[in-house]
Amino acid sequence: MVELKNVDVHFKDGGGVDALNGVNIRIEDGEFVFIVGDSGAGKSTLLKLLTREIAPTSGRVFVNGYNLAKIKSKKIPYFRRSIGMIFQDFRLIPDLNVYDNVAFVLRVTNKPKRTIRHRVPYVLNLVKLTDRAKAYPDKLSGGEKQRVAIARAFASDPGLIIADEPTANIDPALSYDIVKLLKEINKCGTTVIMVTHEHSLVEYFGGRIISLKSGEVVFDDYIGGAGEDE
Amino acid sequence: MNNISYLIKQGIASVWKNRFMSFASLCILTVSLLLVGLSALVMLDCGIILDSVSDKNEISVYMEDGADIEHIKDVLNSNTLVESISYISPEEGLAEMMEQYKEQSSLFESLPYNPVPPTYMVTINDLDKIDTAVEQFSAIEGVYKVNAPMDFAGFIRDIRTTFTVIGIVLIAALGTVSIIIISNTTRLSVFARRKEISIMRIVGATNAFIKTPFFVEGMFIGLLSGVFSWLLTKFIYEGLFSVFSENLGMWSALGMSSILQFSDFCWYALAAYCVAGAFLGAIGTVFSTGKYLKV
Repeated sequence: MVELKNVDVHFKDGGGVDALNGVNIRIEDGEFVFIVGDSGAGKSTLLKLLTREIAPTSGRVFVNGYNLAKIKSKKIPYFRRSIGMIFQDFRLIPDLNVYDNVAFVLRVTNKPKRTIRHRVPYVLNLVKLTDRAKAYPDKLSGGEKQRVAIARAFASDPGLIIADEPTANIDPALSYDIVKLLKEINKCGTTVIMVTHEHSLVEYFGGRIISLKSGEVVFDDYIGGAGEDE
Repeated sequence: MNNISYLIKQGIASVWKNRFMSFASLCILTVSLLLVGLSALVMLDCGIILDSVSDKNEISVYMEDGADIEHIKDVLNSNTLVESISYISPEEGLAEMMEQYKEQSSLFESLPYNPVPPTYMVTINDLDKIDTAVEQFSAIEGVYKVNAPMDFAGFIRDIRTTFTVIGIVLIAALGTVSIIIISNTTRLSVFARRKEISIMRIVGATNAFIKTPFFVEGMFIGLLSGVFSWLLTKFIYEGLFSVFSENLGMWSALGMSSILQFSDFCWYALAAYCVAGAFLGAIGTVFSTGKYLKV
């Protein structure tokens, strides 16, 4: 579960900026939520809060049972193991092949070799990249790279996946496939929060939409979409 | 921990990835360790030579022709600094000299008289009071000259002091330089792996997991430097030792025949170099990872 209560984020740099103002959001386990908003609306700040890259100036942030306003720095790595991150620039390690990029997250979190041997082929099959397991990132298309990033985010079976504009750097035609893939993962019980500025995608898939503007939640509701049940 | 071998591999791979900077670190650290090691060896050898000179704390008391030998013997025996006395007659003294300078023996034979005075070889019980002993012996009536090894002992003592100072300065200066260089190498490593590190952070790697490869990298460069310094020390020290050995007759009189052979301390030196190298490498890494890896 993700819960933000009266959250303010104020940056002192740049003359003092209110990035988030009195934000209240509650996302239950297993939900799929789109977060939309223009540049400067506070989307990136919200994601940084949810991954505990920054702490709130005031208010409370709970993610997967961790109180991120009060978490000790030693505990942050263990909290981050409970979430999976997907970035618009993929952030794959160039000198590791597809298999090792996915296995990397499991190695980092000290998973046994046997688990790695079972889990990596499973997630690669899920994102339909089994035959590309030995390819290096520079040989992959944008869509394939993002599918590797999704496989990596899902490899440790996190309770929550946060996708930061995952379709921004790929062919628009493939954007729908990426969201469908995230929807499939969501059906496995994983909560998915996807930040995007592509309104066409949001309108097509529908579901719960949270819209931010100038650091405040201006819309939080469900809308219907043609691809809602996909 | 399943990841130990993975982290070690990452650290060693990083040495190769940043090979130019690693090579620079390796060279600086090797030279630093070598200079410090050689200074330490010179200090050790000076100590041994001093001990050897102390064992030969004999003072030659040359007497005038016609001096009252028995009276001088009594005076010497009554001195509390004297441990033992042995008499060398002019004939024995000449024979000894001819034996020592065999090639010039004909020169001695052609002399119309024996130039060697009657001599007492006096062993004293405290080398630190050699100056006092020389002063007291010189004042005895009938004594022509007193020779003591104090000049040589002083010379060796000066060398030891000089190398001790050099050693301390080298340890401080080169140690600092080595740490800075290693620290810079690690910074470059951190920069080269920044993408990987950012991913590590976001997927929940602990500080120790992120820092360990850099630590391994620093220690590995340090260990390699230790081994190279050891090999260079072996080469230089054995070279110098063979020069001494070839001229042992000249040097043995100065107590240098007792200096250490490389084989005496070979493995201790390797262990000391490796430990010092790894320590400097690790310290350098700790500085840069602490400063540049805000995990």
